[in-house]
Amino acid sequence: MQKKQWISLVGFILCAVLLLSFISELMRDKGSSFDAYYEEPENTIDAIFVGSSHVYSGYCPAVLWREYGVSAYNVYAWSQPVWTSYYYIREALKTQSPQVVFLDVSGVVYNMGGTDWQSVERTNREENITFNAGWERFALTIASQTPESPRFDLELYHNKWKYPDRIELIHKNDTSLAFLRNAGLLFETIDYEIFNYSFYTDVTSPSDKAVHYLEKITELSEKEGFRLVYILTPYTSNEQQNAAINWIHQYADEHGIDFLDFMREDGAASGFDYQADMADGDHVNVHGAFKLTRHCGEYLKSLGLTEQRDKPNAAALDQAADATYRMIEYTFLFDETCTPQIYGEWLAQNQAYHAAIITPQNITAQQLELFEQLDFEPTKDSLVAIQNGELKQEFLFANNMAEIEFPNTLLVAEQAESEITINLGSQSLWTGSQEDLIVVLYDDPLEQLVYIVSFDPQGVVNVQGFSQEVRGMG
Amino acid sequence: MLFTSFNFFCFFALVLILFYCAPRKIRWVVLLCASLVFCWSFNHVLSLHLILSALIAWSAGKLMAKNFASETAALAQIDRKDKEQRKKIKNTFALKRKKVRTGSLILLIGSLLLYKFYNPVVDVISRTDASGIFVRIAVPVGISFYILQISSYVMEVHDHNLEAEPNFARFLLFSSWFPCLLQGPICRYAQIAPELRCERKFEYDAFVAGFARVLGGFFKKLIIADRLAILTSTIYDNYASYAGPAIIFAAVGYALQLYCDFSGGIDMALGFSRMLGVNLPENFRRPYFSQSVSEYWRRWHITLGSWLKDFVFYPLTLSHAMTKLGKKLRGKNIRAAKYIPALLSMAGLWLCSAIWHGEGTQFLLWGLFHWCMVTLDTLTEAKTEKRIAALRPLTQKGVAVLRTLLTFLCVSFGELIFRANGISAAFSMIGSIFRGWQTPFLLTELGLDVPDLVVAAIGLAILFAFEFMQERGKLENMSDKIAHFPLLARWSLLLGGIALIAVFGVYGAGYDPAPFIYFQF
Repeated sequence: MQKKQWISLVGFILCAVLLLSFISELMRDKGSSFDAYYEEPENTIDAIFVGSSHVYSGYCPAVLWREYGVSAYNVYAWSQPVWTSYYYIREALKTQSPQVVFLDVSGVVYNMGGTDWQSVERTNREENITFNAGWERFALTIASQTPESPRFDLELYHNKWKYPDRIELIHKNDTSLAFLRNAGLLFETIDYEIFNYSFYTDVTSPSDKAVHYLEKITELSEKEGFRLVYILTPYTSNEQQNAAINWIHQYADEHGIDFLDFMREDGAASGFDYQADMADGDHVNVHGAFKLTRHCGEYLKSLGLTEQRDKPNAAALDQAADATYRMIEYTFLFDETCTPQIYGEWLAQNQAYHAAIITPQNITAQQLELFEQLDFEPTKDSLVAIQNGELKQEFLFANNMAEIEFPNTLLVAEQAESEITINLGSQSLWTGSQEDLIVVLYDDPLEQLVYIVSFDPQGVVNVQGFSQEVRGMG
Repeated sequence: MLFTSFNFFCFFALVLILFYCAPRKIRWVVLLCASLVFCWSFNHVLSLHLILSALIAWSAGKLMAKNFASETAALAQIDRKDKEQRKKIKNTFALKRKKVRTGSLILLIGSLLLYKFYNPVVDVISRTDASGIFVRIAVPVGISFYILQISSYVMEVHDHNLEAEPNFARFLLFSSWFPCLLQGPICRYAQIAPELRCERKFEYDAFVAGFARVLGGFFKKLIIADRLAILTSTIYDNYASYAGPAIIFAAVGYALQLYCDFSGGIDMALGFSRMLGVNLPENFRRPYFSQSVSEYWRRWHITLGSWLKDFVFYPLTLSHAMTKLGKKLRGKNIRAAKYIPALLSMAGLWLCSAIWHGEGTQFLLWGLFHWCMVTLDTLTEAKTEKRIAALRPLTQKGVAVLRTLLTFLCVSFGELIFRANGISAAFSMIGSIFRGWQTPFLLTELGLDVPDLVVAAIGLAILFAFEFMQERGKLENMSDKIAHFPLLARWSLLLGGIALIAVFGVYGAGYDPAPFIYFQF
């Protein structure tokens, strides 16, 4: 082969690799729990919680800021094995230098005796490698490879040509829920059977790969100078996993790593109640999250790491914490027991909201109760704008359409046959009956639509919350 | 390790590197090792069947070559004028060769039939016998292809059309040549043995042309065939729920799918071979532009057709029984004497083709259908050609289009029988053609969404336009032409092809890629 042909061949292969890499990057899913994290001012985060959906639902950074003056962030990924945790910590350290890293160790033992560990690995491979391109992402792709995994990312994403609106060349970070700092609080409660986890006394080493990455995280903490703290959030574990958790306890003792085990002594110390604080078999609910977070706050206090409020973004942190608490408040309020009257009272008392109320043509006495505290009689078949608890304006439907301008968006209500559709910009949000009284709630400080609540002619409530719905649970 | 798998991609890249880094003298050894590894990757133990079959054929060839040498030596000692003695010696040696040939063919073809029909027989027995004594067995991959390839060698050596290969390893390479192993083309020894000696210098243009051919194969398979497979499988697997236009679509759709799948696989085989400096025979020549079913069979699966013609049709036609029949008929009807022996031999050919395709009775029906169509063609060909020649040029063109369409529909009907899940399903589907024309039939209800349907349609349109131009002699040997394009144009085309397949190919998440159809035979 001539020299020129060699060069041509090598050049072609390089171009093909570059082309395929470009297509892969173009098509891949982008956006992760780092989206809003990247937007945080550098070196302002004091503690991060790293782990799977257990961390997402289990810890509330707003509590740590409001009650302990600690700026915290959840760095989670669905079904996160420990090697993903390792690379997530490395990615997190690129812009922040937290003093403490809370590592949920369920990711060390997930594949021990679990019936569905293959799907956990698949989810990890397909869903979690979506943060910004760089060495960490490449290395995580390699580390997450299993015999069943696709060899190229393109295998996962190439059919996205069908959905051109989902293809992003340059990803715009989604910061719409930045105030939550990746807390995915759950509001359900199940009566959970209490297990005595201390019953398991056997000790088994986790897989070699898991131990290897556990050691790498320990080395990283020494190198980067952060305090590594293991946490274990309550979930349904099995005997093998608990034997491995016992091993992790031994490992932590040997390496001087603190371990807040909420499935054992720290659970009791935090006041965690399995019958009141679990949302499902694997995730704690908002009550549980508050208890666990406060326990972590107390732990940080014992280390003298609290009350770090002199930050350049302290005001933003205050605002985010306020928004989180508000969200918790109205999520509790708008459950199935909410009535038009309760809602009306709440709207009249709270100043931080815009609301749009769509009144039906035949408004019933139950529906009218909403307006008692607001102190005005609405026009039938209209769109009523409320601001700071008072009537701002009324819009009548013209050509079956009415619209209202919220601070940064236009809300349009359209009537068609017996249904009414609510659109926010081009996005359809809600379709319901024209007989319902519908309230669209807009959080002013957040500049976001947060809830749509409808009351049927008998006053029965139907709720759609956007703060939770946007993310979903994994 | 199918051609479309990641493992094959890695395997082939390694073979390329080893092949071109190795000294020219031992390159064929690299190819032999690669072929054996490829075969072994499908079924470790059953690879021995391939080696054993090659050994039988090679030994038979060697024995027959020795026999020829002994015959020559024996004849040299006999006076040329002693014709009686010479004839006797010739007959003695021919008889021995015949025995060797027949014995080896019985072993080779017998093992093919055993593997093809054992499992179906076990299935039938299992329905009545619950003892579980008879269990299904694994079938060596590519057996239908390599047995024909090896058998042709035995017959050609027997007929003294070929010198026997003295080196078993080289013969094993011919028998196991990996690009041909899964679905052909069915090569003759004389065609590729010189190529497999790998004595040629590296040809950059041939390498690029091979790569372009591979891309073309991927385009047919991953962009068109595997999409059509989703549509047609939905109908064939639930045939009772469909009628009228859906059945017509199933027939036409499957004909197109089969062509794109099979010829795509062959394009890949030819391309991969060419990248390694080995030229293989073509297996297709735009069959759907044929104007008669006979012409179609001269353009479709050419290597199988030529194998059957040379080793089934001609021997049958020239057999003692047919010659006798011809002579007998000549006295009564000259036309019958001309056609009847040929058509009977043709029936033998179609029977063999049907058996080669599989145990399903629908293949017998398919063979019978094509035999009838070819018979009709043969009987009417002369008159039809004469009538067409008498028409005006423009009318001739119109008739040509009409004949092409009619041939395509006939062939599609045959493919309906071929693809049906058994003979009763085939009859049921044929019966359903005439029902259900009032019920609306939506392609979107067959498992593909609109964007995928659009891609399949565009893919087919591109393929049709390309083949139409080739048919008019404008884009013949396109892969060779691409290799001679200026660098920018060449790279743009090839990189564009890679991008197109990477994005629009049926693989990975959201798709269930289908294996090559002819892989099952």
